[in-house]
Parts: sequence; C-alpha cells; structure tokens
Amino acid sequence: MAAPLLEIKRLSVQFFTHQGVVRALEEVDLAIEPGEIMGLVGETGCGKSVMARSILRLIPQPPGKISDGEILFKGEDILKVRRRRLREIRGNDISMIFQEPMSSLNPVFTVGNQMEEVIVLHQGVDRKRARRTAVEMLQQVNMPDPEQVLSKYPHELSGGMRQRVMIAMELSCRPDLLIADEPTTALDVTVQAQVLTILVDLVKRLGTSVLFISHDLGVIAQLCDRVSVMYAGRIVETGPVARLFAVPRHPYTRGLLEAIPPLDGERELLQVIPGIVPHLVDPPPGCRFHPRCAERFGPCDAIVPRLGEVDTGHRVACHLYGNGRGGMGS
Amino acid sequence: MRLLNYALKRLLYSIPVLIGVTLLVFIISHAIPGDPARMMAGQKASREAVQNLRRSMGLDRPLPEQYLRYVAGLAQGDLGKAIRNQRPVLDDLKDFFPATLELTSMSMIFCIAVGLPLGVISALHRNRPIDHTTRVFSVVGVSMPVFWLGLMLLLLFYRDLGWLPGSGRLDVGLSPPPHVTGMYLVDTLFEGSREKFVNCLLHILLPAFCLSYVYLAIITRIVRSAMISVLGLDYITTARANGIREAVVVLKHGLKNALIPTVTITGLSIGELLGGAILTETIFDWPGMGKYVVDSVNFLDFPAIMGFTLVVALIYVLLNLAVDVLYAFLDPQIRY
Amino acid sequence: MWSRFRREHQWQIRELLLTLNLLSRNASAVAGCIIVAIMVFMAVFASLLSPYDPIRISLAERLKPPSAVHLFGTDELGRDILSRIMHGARISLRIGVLVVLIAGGLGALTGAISGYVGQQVDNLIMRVMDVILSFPPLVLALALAAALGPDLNNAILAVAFVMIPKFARLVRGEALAVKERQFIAAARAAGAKRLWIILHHILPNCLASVIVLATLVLGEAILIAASLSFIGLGAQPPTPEWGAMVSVGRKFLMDQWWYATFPGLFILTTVIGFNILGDAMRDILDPRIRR
Repeated sequence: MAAPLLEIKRLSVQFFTHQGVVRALEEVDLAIEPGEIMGLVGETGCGKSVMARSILRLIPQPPGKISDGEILFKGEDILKVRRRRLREIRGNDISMIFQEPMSSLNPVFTVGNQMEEVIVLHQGVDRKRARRTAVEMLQQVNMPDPEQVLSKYPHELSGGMRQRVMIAMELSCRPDLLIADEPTTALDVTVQAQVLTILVDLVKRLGTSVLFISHDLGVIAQLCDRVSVMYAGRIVETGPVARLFAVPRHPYTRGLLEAIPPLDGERELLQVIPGIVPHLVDPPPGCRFHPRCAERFGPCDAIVPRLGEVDTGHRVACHLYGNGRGGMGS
Repeated sequence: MRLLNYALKRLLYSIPVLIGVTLLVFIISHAIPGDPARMMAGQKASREAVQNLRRSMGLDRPLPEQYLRYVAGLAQGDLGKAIRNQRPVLDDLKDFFPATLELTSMSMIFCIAVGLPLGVISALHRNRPIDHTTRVFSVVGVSMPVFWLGLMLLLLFYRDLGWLPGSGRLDVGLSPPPHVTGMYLVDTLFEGSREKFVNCLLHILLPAFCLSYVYLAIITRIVRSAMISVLGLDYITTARANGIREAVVVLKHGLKNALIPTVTITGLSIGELLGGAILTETIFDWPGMGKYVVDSVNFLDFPAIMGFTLVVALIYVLLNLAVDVLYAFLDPQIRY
Repeated sequence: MWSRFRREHQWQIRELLLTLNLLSRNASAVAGCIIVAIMVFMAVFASLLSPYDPIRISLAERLKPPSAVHLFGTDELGRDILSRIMHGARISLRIGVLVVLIAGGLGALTGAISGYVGQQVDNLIMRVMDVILSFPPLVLALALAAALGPDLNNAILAVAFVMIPKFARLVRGEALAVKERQFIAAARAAGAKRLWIILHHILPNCLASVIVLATLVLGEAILIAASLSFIGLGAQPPTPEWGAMVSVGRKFLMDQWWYATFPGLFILTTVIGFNILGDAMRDILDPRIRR
C-alpha cells in the first residue's frame, strides 16, 4: 500500500488555562491517503478544530502547546520544520477553510486582493497572471460573473458566495490536502447542499485529499470515503464510511447513530447517550467514554484502549475488542 | 464613486453644524456678557465709542436680527476689531496662523510616527516590559497638564542641559526667511539656508514634543487595544493559514483594520492639539494663534477672543470632516 | 427600619459589595483609590495639616528653596508653598465635584430625555450636543469664561458646560437600550408619566457607566480649570489654585524652580489618580467580568 499523504501519530495538545491544564488532544492517530476524503466527526468540544489547526501549527503557543507527536506530511514532520518551510506548506501544499465565512475574509480588502495575494505568494507570478487564475478558480466554483466578484468586498457577498470564494482561494494553489473545518455549518440548509456539491466535484477533479470535519453524520455519510470518530480528544473508531455506519463497533459511535431520529417508522422516544461530555481538565481515567458507556467492564476505568483492527481498514479503540495494550495491532 | 458621494454627504451635513457653531459664538459674545458693547470696545474705551459700537452692533434690535447682522459680517470676513491694535481680528489671525499650523503639523507627524509603531509593538508584546511602560506612559499622558510639562521641559533641556533654545522660532540674531508659506521649516528650505533650517528645527523640537505628549499617549493606547482585538479575529488566522509571513499578517491585514478606530480617535484628538497649542505657544513664546488668544485674555481683548474661537471651531469642524472621509476610505463598509 | 431598607435594596447592596470586592483585587484601582483618598484627605483637613497659614505674608522669607522648614519652598510673598498646595487641593476638588454634579446632572437628564422620547426631540438635542462638541474643549471653555468674567465660579460653569455633551451622549445611548425592555412597557401600561419613568427607571440603570464617566470627567475638569487659571481666566490671586500657582511660578522658573514644579506635580498626580480609578472601575463594571 502506498504511503499515506498525511500521518498523524500520537498527537497530544494541551491548553494552559486559569482552571488548569486542558488535555484537548490525547495521543491522536490519523492517516489520510492521497485522493481520499476523510471525515472527522464528533460533538462540539471534542477537539476536532484543535486537531485541524494543529496540522498547520495554527494553535497559539501560549496558551496552547503541542506536547507530543508527529504530523508526517509526505514523510516530512510538520511539527519540526522551519518557519519558512511551514509557510510554503500553508495555503500551498495543505490548505484550510473555516466555519465562518463572514469573519474568515478580511473586510477591508477586496476578494480579488486576498485571492491574488495567496496566488502571487506561492506561485511567484505577477498580479495579472494571478488575477486570471483567480477568475478561473471562481469559475470552477460556479461563481456568476467572476470578474465582478473580484472587485467586491466580503460584506457585499452572501454567505454561500463567501464560502465558495474561500474554496476557490484555498484550492487555487492546487494543494495536496484540504482541511475543511465545518465548512457549511454556518450556512442555510439549501445553500449547504449547493456548496458541498461544488466542493466535492472540485476536489475529485483536482485529486485533492480532504479532511472533512463536521458534527453532521448525514453529510459525512454522503461525502466521505472514510471516517474517524472523535470523543473527548481521542479517536475512538475509524474506517470506511459504509462499513462503519452499517456496523458501528464503538459504543459511542453506536450511540451517535442511534440518536438520529428515524424519518420513517413509528414515533419513538429519542435515544440519547446518558451523561455529558467530560471536562478536559480532569478527564476520566482509562477510556474517556467509560462513565457513559452501557457496556463498560473491568479494564475500562483503568487502562486506555488503543486503536486496533477489527476488520480491514476498520479500527476501534475499545476493550470490548481486546485493544488494551501496545500500539496499533491487528 | 462611492467615496466621493460619501464625502459630499458629509459636507452637506456639516452645514447645519457650522451654522450652529456661529450661533453659539454669537450667543457667547452677544447674549452672555452684561454689556456686550463694553466688552467689544474695551474697558478703556470712551462712553461715546461704546455707544457707537452699540448702535453698529445693533444691540437695541431683537436678538434674531442681531444674529443675522453678525452672520452677514462673518460672510464678509468681519470678525471685529482687536481692541489693542484696532486691526481686524481676521488679519491678526492670518498673521499668526502659519506658526500654529507649523507647530501642530509637526506634533501630529511626531505622534503618528512614534505612536503607531509603539502601539503595534505594545500589542505584539502584551504584558511584557515594553507594554507596561507604554501603558504607564499612556495614563500619565492623558493626565498631564500641558503647561506644566512645557515648564519642566524648559528646566531640563534649556536651563540644565542647555541643549535646546527656550523660546521663539528662531535665534534672535537670525532673520526670518522670506515668506512663502509662513512656516519657517519650509521657507528656510526654499531660501536654501541650512543653518537657519537647523536652527528652526531646534526651536520647534521642545514645543512640538510638549504639544504631542497627550495625543501620543492617546494614539498609542488606541492602536494597542485595536491591534489586540483585531489580531484575535478569524481573518488573521486565515491569512496565517495561507502561509503569509507574520510581518505581513500584522502590518497589512491587521493594521489596516486597527487603523479604523484609531482614525476616529484622531478626530477627537485634534481638539486636544488645538487646545494644547494655546498653552504650549504661551510657554515657549511661539508666535501663533494660541499665544495671540492668551495675550488677548490678558488685554481683555474680547473681539479677538471671540474671533479666535470661531475660526478654531471652523477649522476643527473641517478637519473632522476630513477625518470622517479618511475613515470611510479605510472601512469599505461605511460607504454604503 | 434598617432591615426593611436592606430588604428592599438587597440587589443594589449585593452589586455594591461585589464592586468593592473586585476593586480591592485590582492593583491599579487600589493605587487610584489611594491617590484620590490622599488628595481628599488633604483637602478636607487642609487647615489642620498645613504647617503654615497659606495667606500669611512674610517678605523676609521670600522665594526660599525647599528645606526642612518649608518643604516645598516659599513664593514671592514668603508664603509656604506646601500649605498653599494643601488648600489648593480643596479648591481643585471643589471644582471637580461641582463640574461633575452640574454637567452630570444636566447632561444625564438631557440625554435620558433625548433617548427615551426620541424623534424630533432627540434630533434637536443631539444636534445641539454636536455643536458644543465642535469646539476643542479648552477653546470653548476659554470663550465662555472670558464672556462671563475672570472668576473661579465662572470657570466652573464654563467647564461644566463643555462637559455636558459627554454625559448626554452616554446616557442617551443607555436610555435607547433600556427603553425597549419589558419593565418599561409595564410601567407605561400602569400609567406612569414619562418624566417619572425617566427618573425612576432609566437613570438608575445608567448609574454604573455614569459613575465611570464622572470619575474620568472629574480629573479632566481639574485639568481644564487649571489651564484656565494658568491663562488668567479662572482662579484669581491670592487664591491658591494649583494652575494659578504654576502661572505665577513661571515668572520665577529659572531661578526658583520649585515654585512652578510642585503645584503642577499635584495636578498631574491627582488627575492620574482619577484616571486610573475611572479606568479600573470601567473594567470592573463591565458586565462580562462580573459573572
């Protein structure tokens, strides 16, 4: 099997706050293959955004701290590269789009100015050439009248248009990996579908890998090839989308899927996962989910379960499958 | 062009304000004093002179009519006659205006050139020594009695160290450059006299620093707080995520946004400068409008004081208008 | 009776205690408080504290430098400068308090009316405020003081006039926010008159920000009044007002540096005290922090 495009190994991130040390990410493992769309799903506050930002080292170092781990991009550890190389990677080899299109674009510069800035920076061309590239990219995201849009300011565009601008901007340098942090959460439902379709079409055409972060299981199921489930700063399950959603192994994943109210069939009581998400200053020992897990037993409150294969390409971190010791075993 | 439209709209809006300004000055000069004619003629004027003035000011007429007379006079540039030299006040002010312009311009340049970088550096190094020093300096700055600061500067730099001259625009022995703009620094360059230019520079240093002290404190504080808010916003993260160098992120993406509240405060602070000029020019014997009005106070030269007040208010309104347009230039969201 | 008062105002008392608690934790607030307290103390007990009679002339002692006998030296009539400064504190504080009361009272009321009544009244009042604000503060105060006559009380009126728009704008903003709230509608439905609502509901809700502004304006008023006195339009001799003292001291600057230095230093310190206190209170009264 070819080497993964991005390999995150044992990534741990902490935040030093007044209330204590928040262990936001704990020994996270994740791998993304070239050309695949990897979903990252989990509740608000589970650490998805922290992980996304860690990849490009966008975590402010006080109060945050990447305390352990490697992020290997085509073999190179991003956490160790020099600043100049990091700047080369950002926006060029790995790009990112954020949740709030309104605030993600600078209000005092035109769309064109901001797009061209990135293109000129990474491709070393002049402004005129950059402008043409920008127009092409806007066409690729089905933007009507691209020339006009370039001279507009962000507040003159609708939310959906702004997000398409972000997509165009971040893909203009043909990155190998696009990180999409809840790109449609802030948009109206009708616009969401439109933007997602454009996004997926474009990345498939360009062959870009995507790390697609969302809390919306439906969107993940539709768009992604594989998915990783995150809970309280740890990856608990990862695998091909169809298989994982058909036969979820981890109790948390099962709980998530069962919580989705059925559209058809009889009206039943909503299934909820009892309890609340743990405070990450003092997380539960052992498996972080164990206080809420109906199937917990012996080792769950003492030993941290590690990701282990239960099926090809399908891994779970749960003692039910005998994954107590060591690293990723099969 | 949107910006031009906005500028014109603002200009139109200024007109009622300008009218209000003339009204207020009118009330102060005609309605408040016990005997306006006596105030305008001076304590030493003869009974007859006062009577004449009373008639020509129309003080026996109803107030609205007096106001219209007053405005008609203004339109012709008639600000009354200064008591002590019987010259039209407008002429006096024209004579003294360039010196004040030179002083306030130098101060403004100094404030921006020092305050902007200081504020940015302070924001980038929050809670470190340079930040603390800047914040202390800011509090002291807005609390500072300008006249006292000037005297202390004189004690230090003139009396004790002898580095800088204590008064005037030029050494007594040197003759002023031929009048082109009235601003000695510019005119000496036109004259080509380097010795005089340096001399003028030395003379303006202390008064300009004294005058800018307060505003410097204000601008540093506002730039610092604006930068801190701006640097926490999402579009800054986007810029960094796109691989833009940190210096460009701060100075291009951050600063332009931070300048918006800064420019707003600038408008208000021009008022500080104009007011502070009164005190600074007095301390340093700087022959500008500020010294003129203080001399007028000593002479009880009421028409001069009122003329000065009106002119300064007019200048202030127009400057604020310019600042508003600059604000719209920086922030595209305002133009609509 | 006391317990009834406590019961009826328990919410305000809690807020007050919380404010004091937060104040005590904030280092700069404490510093500001100390400075202000010292000045107030000096002002109130000036007659007891001052080593000499501030108006006692002693030509043999003229223009003596600071010494053990005269801590801040003597002036051109042999009067002890420290004693005069202490009595000057009384004057400056009186200026500050009067300006704040006049400008605050008139300004707050005007602003509340403007914000609550709205429409044409609001428009008119705000235009008037705009006009007043079109003058640099010192310039307008100067003109007013000149028209009224060179006297300390006139200077106080002049400065107060200049400060009115600050309070008016602040309270108007708050009034606009408060007037939409439900308890106002309830009061109106119960038949309350507008003026009553303004006085009993609108104004009390603006109290916090008005207090912050009042503290800052107090300092600024002392500064402007001192400037007016320096020019010759405020306090007249032999009143020991700080600005006036600096003005006279200027004549003796080169050889008798202490005369202009110490009074000015007190102006600076007092205003710093009020500014620090005002800033700290603004931070403390910020509703987000109070949670």
